[in-house]
Amino acid sequence: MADIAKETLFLDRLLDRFEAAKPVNEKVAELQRETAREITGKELPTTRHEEWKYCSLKSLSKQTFIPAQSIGTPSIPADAATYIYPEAEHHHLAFVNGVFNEELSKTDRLPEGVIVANLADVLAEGNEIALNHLGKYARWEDDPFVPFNTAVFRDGAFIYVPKGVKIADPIQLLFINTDESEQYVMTPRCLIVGDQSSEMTVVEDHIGLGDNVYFNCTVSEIALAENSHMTHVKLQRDSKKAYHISRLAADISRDSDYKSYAVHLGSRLSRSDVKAVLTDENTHATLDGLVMVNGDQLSDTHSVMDHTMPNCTSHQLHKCIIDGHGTSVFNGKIFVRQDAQKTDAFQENRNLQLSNTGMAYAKPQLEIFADDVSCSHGATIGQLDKDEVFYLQTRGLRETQTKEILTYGFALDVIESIPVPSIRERLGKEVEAYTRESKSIKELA
Amino acid sequence: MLTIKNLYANVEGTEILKGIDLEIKAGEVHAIMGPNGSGKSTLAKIIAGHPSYEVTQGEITYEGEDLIEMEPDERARKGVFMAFQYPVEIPGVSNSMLMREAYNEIQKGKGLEPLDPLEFEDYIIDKLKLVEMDQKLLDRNVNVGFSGGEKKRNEILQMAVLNPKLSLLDETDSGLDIDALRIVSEGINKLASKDNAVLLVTHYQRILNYITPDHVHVLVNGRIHKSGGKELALELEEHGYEWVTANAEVNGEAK
Repeated sequence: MADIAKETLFLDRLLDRFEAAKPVNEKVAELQRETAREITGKELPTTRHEEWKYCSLKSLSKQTFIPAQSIGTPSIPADAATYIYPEAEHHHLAFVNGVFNEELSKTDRLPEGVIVANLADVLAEGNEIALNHLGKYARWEDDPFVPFNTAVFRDGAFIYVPKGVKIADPIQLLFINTDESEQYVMTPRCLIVGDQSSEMTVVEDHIGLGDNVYFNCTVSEIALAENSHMTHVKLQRDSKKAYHISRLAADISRDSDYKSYAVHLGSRLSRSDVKAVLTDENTHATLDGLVMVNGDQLSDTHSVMDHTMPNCTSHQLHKCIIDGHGTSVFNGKIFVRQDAQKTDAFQENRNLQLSNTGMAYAKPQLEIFADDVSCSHGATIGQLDKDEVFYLQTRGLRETQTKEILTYGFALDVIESIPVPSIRERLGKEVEAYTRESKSIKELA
Repeated sequence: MLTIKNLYANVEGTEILKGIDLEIKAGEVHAIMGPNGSGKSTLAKIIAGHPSYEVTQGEITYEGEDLIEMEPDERARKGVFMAFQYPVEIPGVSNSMLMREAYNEIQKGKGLEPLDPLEFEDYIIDKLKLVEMDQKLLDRNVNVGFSGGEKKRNEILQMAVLNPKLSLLDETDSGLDIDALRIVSEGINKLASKDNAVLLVTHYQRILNYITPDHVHVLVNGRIHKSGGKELALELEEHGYEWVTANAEVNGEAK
């Protein structure tokens, strides 16, 4: 009986595919064994589970994946280097299907003491900082995906910026996912540690090169020490048939500022859980997001903004554009704990529907235990403004141009905040391509 | 150029226009005056093709073609322009980019070559002088953060750039101070020619001190109650709109 059940459990089937690789480090190996045990025999959450109400994993559970590292020679295109943003020319790490690719990586102008390297190598060397922080922050109740990633991950990114060091140019973590006939799963892991008064900008870029099915299960952990500043841009452009399940946890110390801009454009199913814990006083966190779905794409963002101490501020602007039969889900929780007096928290979720057949679910949640706070939250779901459409049309602009201009205008305040010009430019092009595929406004009326 | 016959129109089931007849020829300036809610702005929006209004009866012929069946952008490419009462703010698009795209669409419609950004810059410099507008406003997002007067001037700038045959000016004068009104009016006068026509929708007689209409129509409750020359505007100023409706009923002119 037990064996039959085991065969049908997605996570077990997945775990079985990964051979017990030789441990890179005994401490890590222990953590991996422990997390593997945690999910063995565990089922995937279903839509009966409150946190998964609008995000069904049924189609994922029916798929079969092989570990990406077992693909002999992935089909890396000759122009792979063009995915490096000019701003990140001197420091970028590249991963092909989650496997570190040294040839495509470069870290030649880093200040003294900065580490930007493959996580597997860093752990194998026994780097104390990496070992101390790994697995400490990415924790969600009843969640099988962090343990799965932890149990099997090998390669990933490790960034450490020492005390008082500022890296002006962005560091790019490029995840290229190639077009293969075999369905693969990869488990990239990022660990980013900013020491006291450090400053950095990190770009996490996931690109699907084909139209193939794969499973990108990623976990990122960020630890910022006192008075440090980090801007984190995530751009998810996975294949339109891919599954992207990601977890991001940031632990933010006193006087620190963490700004995250997450853009989700790809994947058939994208589920992103983001958590920022403001652990001490005078901390600021931004969790902004932009989602664009079309066809039968589903993009689900669950966020937690956890205010634990006084005098902290947080900002969350999450915008979704929905076309075709696409679905967007936003579930944003803000906790203001009892000690978190004088918290100033802002949260807004805005949804733009370009079709009659798309769905948008918005669930902003505030849980406040302190009594002297300023918190605002709101959610809107709307269509293109008729008067704006009419205005542009009376200037002779065609429907496609009109839609493109107004959609771009809707997305603009998220795009504008991203401090890397070539990403802003890239996103302008993405909006253009997205609206070109869109059906006419007239057809929807 | 434009012939409107027995035009009836609804918005959300409410009848706004109740049988409008109007004939505008090239080279003419027509002023439509009327109290608030009379339907005068609706008339302009219907000619421009606003989707919220439904034409239930009658016809609008522009240059020999049925206008009602055309999309707003198609009308624009054929030379119909509307200056909005409340110009819309478009974040994310610079003013010069919008005008260049619009200009080039209309050029393409005429089978002419589009202008590249540099050529367009040369083209627009002269037009800026016409409305005494600062070049800096070209780089700003369309109408975003513009003052009320700047927005209205920007509408007339767009009119100058697009060079339409028929301009519908929807309460372009309301909310303007005297100086801005003078600049806007002079701009409109300079753009008027024997080949184009202007339909000026206004609540106040004031703008007619600067722009001399060939015809003045008084629209009350969805109907044109009285038409006449420019002297009609002065009479209105003196007696108010009630005078027209009262008078019209006595004379039996109203339909």
